[in-house]
Amino acid sequence: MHKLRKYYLDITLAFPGLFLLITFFVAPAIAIFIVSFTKWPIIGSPTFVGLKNYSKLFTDEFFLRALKNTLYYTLILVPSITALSFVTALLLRNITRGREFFKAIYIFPMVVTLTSTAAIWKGLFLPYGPLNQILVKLGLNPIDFLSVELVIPSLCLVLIWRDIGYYALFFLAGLESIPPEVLEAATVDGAGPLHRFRYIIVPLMKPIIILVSILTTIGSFMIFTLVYVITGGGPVYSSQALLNYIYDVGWKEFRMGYAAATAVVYFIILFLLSMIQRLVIERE
Amino acid sequence: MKRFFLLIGGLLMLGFLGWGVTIRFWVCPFVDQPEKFLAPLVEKFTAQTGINVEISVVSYAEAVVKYQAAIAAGEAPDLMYLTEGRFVPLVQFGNALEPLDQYISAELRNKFARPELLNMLANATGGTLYVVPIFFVTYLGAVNLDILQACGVSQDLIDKMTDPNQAYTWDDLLYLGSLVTKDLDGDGKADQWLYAYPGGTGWIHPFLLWYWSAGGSPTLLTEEGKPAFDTDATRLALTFLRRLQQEGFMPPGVASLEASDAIALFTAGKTAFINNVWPSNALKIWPQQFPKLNYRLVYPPVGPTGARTTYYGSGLLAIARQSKHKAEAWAFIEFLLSDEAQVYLSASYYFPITGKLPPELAADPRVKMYYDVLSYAIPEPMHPAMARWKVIYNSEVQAVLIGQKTPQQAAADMQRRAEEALKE
Repeated sequence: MHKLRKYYLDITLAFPGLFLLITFFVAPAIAIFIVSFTKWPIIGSPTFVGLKNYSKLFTDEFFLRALKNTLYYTLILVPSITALSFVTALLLRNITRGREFFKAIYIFPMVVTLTSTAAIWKGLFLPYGPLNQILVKLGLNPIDFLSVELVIPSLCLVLIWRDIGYYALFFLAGLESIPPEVLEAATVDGAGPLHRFRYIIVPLMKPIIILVSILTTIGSFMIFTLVYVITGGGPVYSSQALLNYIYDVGWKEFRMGYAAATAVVYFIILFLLSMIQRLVIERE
Repeated sequence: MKRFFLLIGGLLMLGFLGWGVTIRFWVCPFVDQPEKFLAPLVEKFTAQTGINVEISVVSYAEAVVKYQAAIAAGEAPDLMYLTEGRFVPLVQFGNALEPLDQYISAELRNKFARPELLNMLANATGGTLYVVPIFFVTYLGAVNLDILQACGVSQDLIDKMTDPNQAYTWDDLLYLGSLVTKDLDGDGKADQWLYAYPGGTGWIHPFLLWYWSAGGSPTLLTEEGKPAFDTDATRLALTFLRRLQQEGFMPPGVASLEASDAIALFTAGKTAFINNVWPSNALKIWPQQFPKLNYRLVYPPVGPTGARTTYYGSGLLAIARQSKHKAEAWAFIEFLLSDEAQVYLSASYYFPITGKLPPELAADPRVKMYYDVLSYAIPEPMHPAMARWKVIYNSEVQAVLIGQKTPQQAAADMQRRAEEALKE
């Protein structure tokens, strides 16, 4: 009690933040965990079903497809965004005139809300949309960007377009921190641009590369809006990501218990990814 | 002293009559800003009865959940706006709705343009009526006359599509497709088509329009109460859509098209036929936004089994069982069904359920077409599993449109998944 009295002021000051944290994060998370053991079609009271939702999850072809799709998004997005934003940063660094202007241009897609971005790209991707009209004008065949085969690469294209400017700023900050004398010394020793890049810039930028890779990995597991607006997860679930699956099961099919179980598994995946991120950063 | 008792008596009488009572009415946005749209009606109702109506707007997506939360908290609105697909869950939610059979008089029943719709609503909930429609929409088709005339489509065929006493068939549509599908810019690829099926939609009706037209069950159930998906109607509808696609009568990528994209293609003069035209589009929005679009409304086609159907949706009102002002809420429903209110409501381009139209709409032959199809239009199936079935059949239609499944496989998978959904 005496100790509590000692921290009275600290507890009082922390209370509003703690209250918000518990109300909006901890309590809903606990509620989701509890609901995941029930069958609850929103109507009426939930019925306890034990581990049934979890056991069904791993044989559910639609959940597994959503998981596979999410991994596919990750496989495309992480290397593409990391490499392209690095290249963009290198280009920006070498621009002497109008660098701020180009930085603003590259960051612009990030400023626009993702819903608006998705709506615009949805129009661009249509079979008779502007992109295909350009292709036809160039004498090429139109592309069905939203076909089963191409829908994920097409959606990734939007995210790459949107994110490279943002992540380029991370790389640019890293590049700015490389002491110029190191590069000058290498040049004096006869190292060409490629050697300087490979043996000096890349090793020194390793922490940034890891950070960007981890952030884009987590980001790719959080894909939702783009899929929701552009394809709704189709055609035939071929673009459905994990979050879209959870949303559809919960709010289109009203299977809240099952959606909650999926959300718990999704949380575990993200938690593991965050742990890996922490370990890697600490090691670096 | 006498005056005092008279005053008290008068106040008690006013209270008994509901004077000064406020009823809470939660409404979905059937028009932009429904609270403003309904304000003149509310004002008139209040002036007549002394009952105030407090309107709150709830989105269609959240309506059921918000109603349930309010009911669970004992704070249910007195009056709730619902649709065919939304009221059954509320009836099941602890008997949350007030049965209305005792309120509705035979005289009022007979005012409805299609009184048996009340029975259909009651049948969805075991024979008890919990909701009353105040207005409705049906769907018509439309053709682009400029395209039809430029492609040499005979006037006879156009007349068949627009005359309620004649009928055109799916075969007529295929023939129409062969005439209107064209490569106009000479690049070797078609850039004008017959029809764009919105294969990427999450809506209920695009597939059902074809399924019902092929003789599919209006309730999506067999006589034994099982899902009716692995049926001839499903296979016929899917085969027809697949054929339209294989013949090139539909634009590429229909599997990903939203309903709004299909409308955009029609209004842009890229497709010659569309089959889900809302009254507000046909009568108000298109003439304003696309003044050069030369279109004509057409009746639904007759399917291969001779069925002719279309979609029907309505705005339904329900009274909460826990309401303390049920009589006042019912008084407002009756007021909305009065000739005066019905005429006013038609400005929303949802049509008066009693058929009482303002003179300018009553004289419009296109409006008559919407009432013509009311006699065979089918409301959204009111099964509790409808939310899941909709997701299931839309994805299976997509699988057919991208060539992943045959119509037979898709129909069988629809059935399997629909039955699984019922078990869960």
